[in-house]
Amino acid sequence: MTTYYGIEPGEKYKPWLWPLPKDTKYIGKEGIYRKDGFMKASGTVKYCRDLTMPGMLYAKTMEAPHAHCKIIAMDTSRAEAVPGVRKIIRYDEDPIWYGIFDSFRAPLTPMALPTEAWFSGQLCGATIIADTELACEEAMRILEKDTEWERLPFYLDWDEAIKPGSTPIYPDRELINHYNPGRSVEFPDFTLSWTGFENKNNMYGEEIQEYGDADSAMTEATNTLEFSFKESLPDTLAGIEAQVQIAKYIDASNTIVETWENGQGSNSIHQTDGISHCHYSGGRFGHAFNVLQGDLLAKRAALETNQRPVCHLHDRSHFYWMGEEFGTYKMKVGYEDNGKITAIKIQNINCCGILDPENKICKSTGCENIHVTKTYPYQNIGPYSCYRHGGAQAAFLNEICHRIAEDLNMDPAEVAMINDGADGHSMEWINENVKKKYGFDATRDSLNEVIDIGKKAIDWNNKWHEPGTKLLPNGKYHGIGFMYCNSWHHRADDNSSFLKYRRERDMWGPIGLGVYKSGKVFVEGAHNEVGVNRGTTYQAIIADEIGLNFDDVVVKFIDEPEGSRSSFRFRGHGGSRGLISNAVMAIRLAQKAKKMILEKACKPRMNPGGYFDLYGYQWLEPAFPNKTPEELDIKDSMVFEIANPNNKQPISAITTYLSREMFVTDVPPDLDEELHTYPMGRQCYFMEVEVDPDTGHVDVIKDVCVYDAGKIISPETCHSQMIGGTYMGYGRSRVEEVFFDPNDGVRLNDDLINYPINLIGDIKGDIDVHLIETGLNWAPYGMGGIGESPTAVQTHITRYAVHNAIGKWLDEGKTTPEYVLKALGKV
Amino acid sequence: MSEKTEIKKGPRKISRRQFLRDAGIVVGGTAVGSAFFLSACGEEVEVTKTVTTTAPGGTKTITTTAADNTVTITKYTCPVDGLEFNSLEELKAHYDATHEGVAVAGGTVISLSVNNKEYTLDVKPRWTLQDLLRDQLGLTSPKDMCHGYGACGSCSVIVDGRPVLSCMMLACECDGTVIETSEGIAVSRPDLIDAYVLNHAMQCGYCTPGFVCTTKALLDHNANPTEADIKEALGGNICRCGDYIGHIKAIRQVAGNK
Repeated sequence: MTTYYGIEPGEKYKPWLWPLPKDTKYIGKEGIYRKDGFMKASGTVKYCRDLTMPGMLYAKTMEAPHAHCKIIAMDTSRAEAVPGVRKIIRYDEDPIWYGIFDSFRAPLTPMALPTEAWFSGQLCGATIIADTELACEEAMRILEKDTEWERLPFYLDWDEAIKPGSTPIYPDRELINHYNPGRSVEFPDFTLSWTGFENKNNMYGEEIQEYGDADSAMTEATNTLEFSFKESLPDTLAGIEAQVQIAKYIDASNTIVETWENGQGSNSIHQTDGISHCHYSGGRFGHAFNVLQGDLLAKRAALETNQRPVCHLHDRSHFYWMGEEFGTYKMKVGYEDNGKITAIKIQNINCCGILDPENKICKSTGCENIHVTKTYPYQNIGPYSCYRHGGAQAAFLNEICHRIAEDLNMDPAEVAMINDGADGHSMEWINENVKKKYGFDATRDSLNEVIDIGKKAIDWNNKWHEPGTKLLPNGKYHGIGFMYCNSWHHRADDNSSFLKYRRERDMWGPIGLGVYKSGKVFVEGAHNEVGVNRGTTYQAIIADEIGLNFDDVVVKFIDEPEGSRSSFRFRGHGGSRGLISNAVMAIRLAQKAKKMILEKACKPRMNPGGYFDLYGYQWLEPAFPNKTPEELDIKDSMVFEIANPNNKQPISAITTYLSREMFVTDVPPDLDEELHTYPMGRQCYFMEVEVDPDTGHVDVIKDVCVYDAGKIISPETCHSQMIGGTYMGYGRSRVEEVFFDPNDGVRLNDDLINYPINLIGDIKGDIDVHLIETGLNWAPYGMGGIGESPTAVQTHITRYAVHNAIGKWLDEGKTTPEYVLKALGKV
Repeated sequence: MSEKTEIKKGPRKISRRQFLRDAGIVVGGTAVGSAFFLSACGEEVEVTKTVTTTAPGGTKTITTTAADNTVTITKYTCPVDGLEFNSLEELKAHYDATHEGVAVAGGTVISLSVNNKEYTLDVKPRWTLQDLLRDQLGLTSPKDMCHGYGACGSCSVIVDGRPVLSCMMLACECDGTVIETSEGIAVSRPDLIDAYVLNHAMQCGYCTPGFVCTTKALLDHNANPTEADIKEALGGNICRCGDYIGHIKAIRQVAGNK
């Protein structure tokens, strides 16, 4: 069941207040046929793994058999003798792009073929190039037997790794002096410091962030609480199209390389000149960064093949990249008797490298005093990958609210509303100083609205009870949980800076939209289609903005990702912020094209009479003689006189006389750099569960999702993102975890039989989705993103529902049966 | 007394187990002469002995085919030239002397229908149906997500009306079968594809063809499935994007009980 609530068009011409076109036929409407739908359902769309090319060779790279190990010796002679093997590139050959890349995604991300691996399954040692995939596998089986490894100290538990006296994992590691974590929070009073460590108890650095004065505020607080939990067994990306890169040098001197890859964004490292293609991707969710190494390995392999394409496959890649949640979360909070938070201190052992624990706290509360210490440990589990991420940040936010609620015997939703705000200001202040100032509807209060809708949908007032107090006749404990957060992505300057970042780097030219002589409009859209229905939504926006029939807008998918240098194409990730980034340009270009069409309609039309007319061109009278563009409009692909709608002609009556198709171009606008875009949209989730105290099993009876999307372009797309986010978030909360052999550090469940991804029947209860449109986001029409946050926020939803059921907090973030039973004292 | 032996051959059988065992060594055909492979070239035959007895003072032929005169012997047929031998040792000696290094061109010739087109193909023993459909016939709909574990359902196709995991079925098992993939379903049941599209039963789309095949097989057997029926039928297909509800809506639309 989905219900929608509309908004009225804004009045001022600012991106977040750009008015909706009159008489919209496609924006916000159901029943639009997805552009990519038929190809996907019929199986005819080609993903990277489906590509074959004449003469294509195959390559596979060795995977480390242990956590933290080093190659001592490798004999490739037997593997080289396998029929079909062309070349084996060894770790000790003269490397081309060898080096350790200090990525914030992982402390040691190798760029080519390292000798030493820091997690089991890491690509290292050797790349085999062969005629067939089978030959690669046959040779690899032999090579694995003919390679000797030295096993080195490893830690799967980072708390153990950083204890004083622990065995150094990387004793020869150099000090990391430069570190650039992602910064996505803006705050009036903020300081940041970074300290790089030189092998201090297996820590490579520590970052301290200070907002306001948390120490003083904590001292002055009426109440304080300290609590912690750990996510020791991470979830992983598993279940997507595994990593594939194809590389081919197109010149004999091997300097220009053409690549095909299945990443989401611009993953082709620009260390070589070339052309990169990015096709439909089988599930990415933001995950892009493991492609870096595979991309380089493909290019390296292609150097050996005399301009034949090489397809580098990493079949198990999707099991090696963890979600961001794994780490240790320690928090101290100061608060008043009414639940108002006055100070927060967070100490986070942070394995993922990019996590800002305070991120959602800053965007969803008005707390002014926050102190964050992030400690970065070495560990040998594996690297982190952004996949529908933000869950850990949402966990910090909600853990604080629920702990305060428990201590004060309050409804956690009430605690959330008392603390609503952003970037150091309360929502009351934002209403007066932001919404009214910048033209938003100050009567809309997103958090109150989503909580109100959600509570009614799940019957919260009748069902919520104190933790651990409701035992059902069937012997199970009833529980009801709540999570909330700001909606993201929401920021005009996010999309502006995103686009401006690339323009400043001179990476791209202008963006263009063309009008064919037939009257159809076309725009070239980047590929890296990850399933968020970009093409259809751009088509809907452009059609409505100009006044065209839907099928008179052609969004040409070209397959170059945003990292390449071609012009006339949209940019932006196709994930949670693709639309808010590209909608700016889609609308501006559409309005420009419409203006140009209407101007042409009032001017004489040139009839070329062939390529050359020696006696001059023949001119026809204007399509609308004696009229001005302001007297005309376009509807249903017809140009008409506003005062006399029966005076109308198809657009083709104007454009067919063009000598060639016409283009309009634009560059991303510069928005006000001083503008602080406070996040004002909110989302919340309610879950009703039954917990079996004997087995620890958690059954979900009902799930209610309420999301403020700002302005919905494609209702079905938004709805499906909510459903998909619930299935994935619920799975990551309740069932997904990676198991390791403690003796070897090897993953024990890196296959889809033993790694449990939610199937269709795994959520037995209803998923009730509600979408609202407050227009409180800073992108065109007030729209926001939706592709990421539903999953991210729900990665811990069962934790709070289970706590309400059994009255105990789990030490672990996940609510798998063993942790539930441990909390109950039964194991 | 003389004996005449008539041989009645049973159907040639190479068991799936033998193929699976042999497949790993028939790489590039270089190991055809291995004992494992050659032992699979044997077949059991029933032999009925005809015994002719000559009575004293004349010739009288008595033919007996009693049960105790029926024996089963094993004949070994050379895979290269078809000559028959009475023992594996004899076959191997012949092979080593005559065909050392010769690669057998193929494994089994099968005939099958795929999306209403007839094919006769020489398939290698270790090819799965997925390999056949993708690598030989160029169909891209059977996807690879779990890499042959049979865990994801994204390689699902319909074989003789049943949804199967094409990565778990050998190509040589498909002789005489009728196979549908989502490419064919798009032609035979465009309404099903349209329902999938209009109900947004997809996001990235990687798993969608597998779901389409499972769905069609369900509808062919049960034209009006309940939600429970749908969930049970689709319970073997993974969607990492998590967009399961769209499938239920699409199927119910096609079934007419939206």
